[in-house]
Amino acid sequence: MNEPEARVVDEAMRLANRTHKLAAECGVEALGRRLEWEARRWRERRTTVVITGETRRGKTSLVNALLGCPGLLPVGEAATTSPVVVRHASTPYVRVTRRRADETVCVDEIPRAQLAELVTDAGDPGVRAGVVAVEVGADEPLLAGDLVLVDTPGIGAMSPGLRAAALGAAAEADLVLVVLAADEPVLRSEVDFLLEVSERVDSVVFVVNRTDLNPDWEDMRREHRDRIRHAAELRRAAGAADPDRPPAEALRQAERLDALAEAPMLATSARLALRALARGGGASRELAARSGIEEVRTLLTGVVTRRDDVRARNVVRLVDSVARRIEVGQTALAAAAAEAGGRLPSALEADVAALNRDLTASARWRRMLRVGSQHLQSAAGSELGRRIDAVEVRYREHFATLPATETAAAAETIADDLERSVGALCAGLSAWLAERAEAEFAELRAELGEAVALAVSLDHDVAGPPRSPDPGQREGRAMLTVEHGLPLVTQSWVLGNLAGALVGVAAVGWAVLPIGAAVMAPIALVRHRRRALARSRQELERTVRDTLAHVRRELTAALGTRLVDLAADLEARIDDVLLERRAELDKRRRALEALARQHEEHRRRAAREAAERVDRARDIRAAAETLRARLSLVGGPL
Amino acid sequence: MTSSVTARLRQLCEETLARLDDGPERAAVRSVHDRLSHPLRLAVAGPVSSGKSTLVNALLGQRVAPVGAGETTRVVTWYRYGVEDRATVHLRDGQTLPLGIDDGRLPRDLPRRPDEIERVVVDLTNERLRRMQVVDTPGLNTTSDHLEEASRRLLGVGDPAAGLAEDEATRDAVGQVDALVFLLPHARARDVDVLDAASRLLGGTALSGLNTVGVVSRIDGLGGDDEDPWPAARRLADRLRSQLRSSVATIIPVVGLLAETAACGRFTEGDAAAVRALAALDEDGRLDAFADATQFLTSTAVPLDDGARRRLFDQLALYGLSLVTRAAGDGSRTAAAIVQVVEEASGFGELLATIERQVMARADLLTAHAALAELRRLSYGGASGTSALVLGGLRDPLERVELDSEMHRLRLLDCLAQLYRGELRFPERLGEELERLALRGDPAERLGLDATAGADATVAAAVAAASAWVTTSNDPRRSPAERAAARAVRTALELLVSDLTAVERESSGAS
Repeated sequence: MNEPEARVVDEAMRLANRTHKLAAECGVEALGRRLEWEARRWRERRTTVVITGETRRGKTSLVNALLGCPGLLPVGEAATTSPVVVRHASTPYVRVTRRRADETVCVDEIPRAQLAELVTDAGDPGVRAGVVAVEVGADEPLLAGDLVLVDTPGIGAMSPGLRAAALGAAAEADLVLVVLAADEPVLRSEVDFLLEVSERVDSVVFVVNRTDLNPDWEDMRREHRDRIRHAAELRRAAGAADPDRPPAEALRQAERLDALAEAPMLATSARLALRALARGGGASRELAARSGIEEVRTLLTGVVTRRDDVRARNVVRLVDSVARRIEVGQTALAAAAAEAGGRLPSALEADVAALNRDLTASARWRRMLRVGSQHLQSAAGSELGRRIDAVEVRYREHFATLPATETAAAAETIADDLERSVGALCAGLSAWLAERAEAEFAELRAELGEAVALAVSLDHDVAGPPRSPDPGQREGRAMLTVEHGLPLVTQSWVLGNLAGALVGVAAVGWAVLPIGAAVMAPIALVRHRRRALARSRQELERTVRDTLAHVRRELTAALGTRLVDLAADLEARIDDVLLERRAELDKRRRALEALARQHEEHRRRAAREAAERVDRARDIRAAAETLRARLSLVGGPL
Repeated sequence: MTSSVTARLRQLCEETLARLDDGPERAAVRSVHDRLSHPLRLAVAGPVSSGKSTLVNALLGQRVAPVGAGETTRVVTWYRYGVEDRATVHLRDGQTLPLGIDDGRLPRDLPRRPDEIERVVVDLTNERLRRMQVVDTPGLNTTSDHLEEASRRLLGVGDPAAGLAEDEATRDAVGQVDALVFLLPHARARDVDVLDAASRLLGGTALSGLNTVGVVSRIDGLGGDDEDPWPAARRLADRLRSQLRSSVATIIPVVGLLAETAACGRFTEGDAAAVRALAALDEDGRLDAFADATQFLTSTAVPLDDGARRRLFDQLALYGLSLVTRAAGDGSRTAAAIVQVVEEASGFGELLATIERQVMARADLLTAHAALAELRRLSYGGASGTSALVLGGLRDPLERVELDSEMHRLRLLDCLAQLYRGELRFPERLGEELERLALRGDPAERLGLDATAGADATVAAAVAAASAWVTTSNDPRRSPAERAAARAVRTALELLVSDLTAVERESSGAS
């Protein structure tokens, strides 16, 4: 994080504290709690960077080099077989999630020495069996800003399920680093993978690793770009020539490849960086400088900063809105205190007029809600179908090239594989749903937004912020995220956040697609039957088909209920908003009437205090305005 | 087992040719004879940039194919023996164009676009090509589609994504090569897919998992800093071997660049002097010099001029450089001694021996198999007059060749290929027995005994093994293919016993 940005972020936090204190003095604790909640969210949410690429590109070495920690993850001749999540921890640990024979999942801390046999193909496959996820906690400064690095197996070595999970993780990531080699041109399998990744994420940065092996790596970097461009041309030509495929799809692919050809390509040598660490001294600094690792580090901290920046903006916006509420309330209070008692201040009359407008609007809101959820329902149905079909096709292709001798091995892992695929599918669908819902209800949200902001200023807890999840629960959620192999960090939050955006709080619970219910039963069955499956490819294909059909039914049902819940929830929120506003007015009226009955001297003191708080609120708002301007200055693109 | 059968068949052809008059029959026998005599055709294939051309150069002992870090081979290139060095470009439309060979090297740029060219044929006055033609192929898994298509056509492999193109034309194309060296730089799924698809498609033809050798190239990156990569390379090869048992005869690690340098005689005394200068550096200086490629080529710490650096780097790369520098420190200071160090570290010797032992011998047998079938057809054919008499006279000797236990080996190889393809489901123990019987040379080893085991012990083991196969061949629960395979194994065991007892009789008769 560089200097000025760090200051802006700190100032945003200080400003939030000031606002929080003021809110408490004014007796509007709910506003303060909302700030607390936002601050906590800031702390909780992590920046995820997924490192992906072909086999033997040096991905794991790159992670070690980035962290300046040789030997943190096992490297060498053995290939990484499962994703490894590296996150910050003051006490280093290695934690492995395993599935036992009886379908239960257990999490164990293991000594680091055991890591190699669990996440690479160096050891006995029997030891690796059942490993679902591996998490490494390291006390490295780079991770301190809550940066999470995810090392993945080479794309050529991934099963369909792992591939789906990796793509799912990429979709959730703040940044995807695609590692290419400096001594080998980009392969077609890499281009295919790039297409899949770019379908899901915008932020791809290339790292051309192993520059130490090729003195002419600059040429190779140019060749990488040329080849990606060439692949785009081929697709454009194929789109024009192939009548079976919709040309639009080929053209979209070509466009995405064109964009990727312009993506940043950093050149590194993880080996040099690690060697520099081993050597120490003056020569090592020079080696480290030539390794190019520092540039990647800068990029990563930049991403963390940028995310912090976005969060800081949210806080500043919230500070402004809270300060404005306080300003309005205290102005009314000051006015009422200054006026002779008995008469309602004019500020309240304006509120009543606004409330009447809202009542008229509510019929329209309900209509928008109904239409929106119908759209969403049908779109989600076909999207689900499309996604499940895609999974099925991938498995069919996979089996088509599977030698007969490999069916037994495939049968052993098919259950885990399917589980990963479906997990990724659910996560992807959740994200898609959130996006569509966001678009579908944008207008509604815009109209509700103002009312919601008013509702927040109520001094009771009807629509207050959710209780902070206690540490145990938080641990539970972290567990859930790694259970599917990769940190689908926001999986359970995407729709939660959407609801939060809609009604001003996080409606926790309704949004998560019930992966467990839909998938566990048929997949457990597959696991149980794996011996029988080993017999033939047809058997495997049928199993995948049946399982996916089952998943399709379950998810269709689940989607239906969730969407009905969503509509009901929003409807209830609309009612709440109206009720809350009425209650707010009542409360304010009572406060003012009480004030009107007070002695002259009391009133004058109250007016003085209110005026002073109005000044402070205005100060805060002015500071927020300056901060906002500064944030938009520093928060440019990378 | 380079094959007495081939020799016998060739002799049979020659005798027959001497007695035949000109005519279609004579031409047919002549073509069988030629086929038995043509040198083995070995294709080198693999993913893009895996070092195919480097290996081709090493196989030829001549740096003729252009090499580099990018994609250098853009068309299928055949290297044949010829009385003078020349190259010809064969276009898809049937035309041919001459191509200059400059200073013994093919030009990097071709006169036409790669997709217009069917192949380039290079004739070289290279003795090695008398025994073996070498075919270089464009890389698979490349981003330029038409290049990959050329290689796939040559190997007869459909795109796995598009399904296999198992049509007749493809099978014909397969006949173009007898053996395959497949490079697996990192053994990615796609490479393995191609290899698998190839072996499945080629099951019944001359090319199969049995005469395909996998090569793990790029092993020089496997060791950590300054560590010997060979232990790691051997472990990787072992792992791949068990994983790819159905696709390749074996897997051998090779450092292609070092193989090329050692085989092509390019390393001069001048280069050796440069290596000695590097060896004179102290520990720190060496660490600096070999830190990375750019450093070696530019650092002032390296006591060599730019040309010498480039030459050394091009021949040895970083791994080879630190290897020979260390060896020079230990006394290997002349060019010859250094080349020997390089050769040993390249692993190329083992590859050559394997090609010789496994691929060539089997290719011989397979060629013999085809020749036998063709000659048998001719001997029963509708020729008239003296031709009919001459050809009919072939039946007896052909029968004797067919009864040769070595010929029966072919049948076992077929069974093994079926087993690898998953068409036979034998218990593991039987599968291993079949594998041993088909692939091992020494009779005792074929039965899983130590090579020093005596004839009696071997016969006893064969008899004991036979009973399980007899049971299998009569087991009604087994598929017809499995029962046929069991019968073939039983026969093989019987032949083995009869060979052994015959040897015994002869030796007892002699004494």
